[in-house]
Amino acid sequence: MAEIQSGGDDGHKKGKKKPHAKKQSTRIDMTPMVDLAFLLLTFFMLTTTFNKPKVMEINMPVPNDANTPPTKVEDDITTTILIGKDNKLFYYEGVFDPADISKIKKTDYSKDGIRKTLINKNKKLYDIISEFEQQRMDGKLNPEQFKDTVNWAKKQKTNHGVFVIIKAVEDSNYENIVNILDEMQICSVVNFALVDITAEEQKMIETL
Amino acid sequence: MPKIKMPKSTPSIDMTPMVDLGFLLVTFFMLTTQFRPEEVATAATPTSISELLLPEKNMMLLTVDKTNKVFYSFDGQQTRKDVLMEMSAKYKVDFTEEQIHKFENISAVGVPIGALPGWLDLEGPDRKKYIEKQGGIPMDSTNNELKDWLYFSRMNERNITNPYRVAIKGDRDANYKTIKRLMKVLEEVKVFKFNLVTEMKTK
Repeated sequence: MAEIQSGGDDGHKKGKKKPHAKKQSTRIDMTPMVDLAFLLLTFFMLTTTFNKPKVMEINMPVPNDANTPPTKVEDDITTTILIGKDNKLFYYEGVFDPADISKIKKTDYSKDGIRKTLINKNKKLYDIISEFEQQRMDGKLNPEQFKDTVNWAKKQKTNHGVFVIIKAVEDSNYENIVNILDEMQICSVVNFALVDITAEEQKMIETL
Repeated sequence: MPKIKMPKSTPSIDMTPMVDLGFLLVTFFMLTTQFRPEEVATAATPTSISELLLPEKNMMLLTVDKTNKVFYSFDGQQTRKDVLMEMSAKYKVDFTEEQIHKFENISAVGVPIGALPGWLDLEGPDRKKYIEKQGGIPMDSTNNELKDWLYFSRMNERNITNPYRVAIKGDRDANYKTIKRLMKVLEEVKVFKFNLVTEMKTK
């Protein structure tokens, strides 16, 4: 079909005079057709392996009926994350103090922001799980065992380093919420809750 | 220094097999590509490291686009017909046989129930335009149609072995207020476990 010839032969023919017979060349150059075929191929290869949308599992707490008391958490070991509008992010530790604005620290969604803070607070559990992940990468644990050991580690109450409360203002983006929930998974935080923000907290972060 | 001229020999490669294979592959992919079902609304989902896959069937999908309109999709032809009939009875909106048939074959609901017959009669681009102007299922406390759609869907669920799973597909720029309200409506129909659809991202 298609033949590739380069014009290298001309070097030899300098001395000779070749009489050029007037021939009708019927060779069709197939290059464009092959180009198109490969373009189509690449297109279909890429469209069939489209990103399958992934899901995050969320379990919301069952609302308490009158008989069961709500789970009480010691106020001083909680960290509260406040999600403001325009992608602003703040957090404070312990109980909310309406008088002391310096307690509220500003942070962001990057690796050095909230993630660094949470990993530091949850260091014990995070290190344990990172160790398991390393073992899985090295092949010492298969995916089943990995899942089981991680679940076991998460259930041990002595490993729980931090309780996180997530509060968001109504003007914040859905993306911000998903990012924070994702950070919970990245930092291996087991105990977290999504609650309504109070008016005082909202007023305070508006000024920051 | 005198240049040494190498005798140039020109290899001629026969490209026939390569082109043959190329066309074979194109044909293969052309036949095996499956098109995604037409979506009522587009939502660019936020990213997460989660790697769980979205189930294709038996899913109740709530889509929130960036203008904070809520859309609801669920599959199962007979289920769709039953749910439509119940909604029709409750809200006193009638549907013709043809409209019911059309409803069975699409997967989503994107307009208030009062406008649904009219919307079903429209075609392709008109439907999209209608949704842009006044689409979305109302879920405010005075007119909570979404709650009824969800409630009737769960009541008429036919597949007991593989029950419906609820997924929320929200746009990145959707307001948290809408999502919060959506989660509250889900709570009212006793759905406490649901999934958020996200795209892949690396740590």
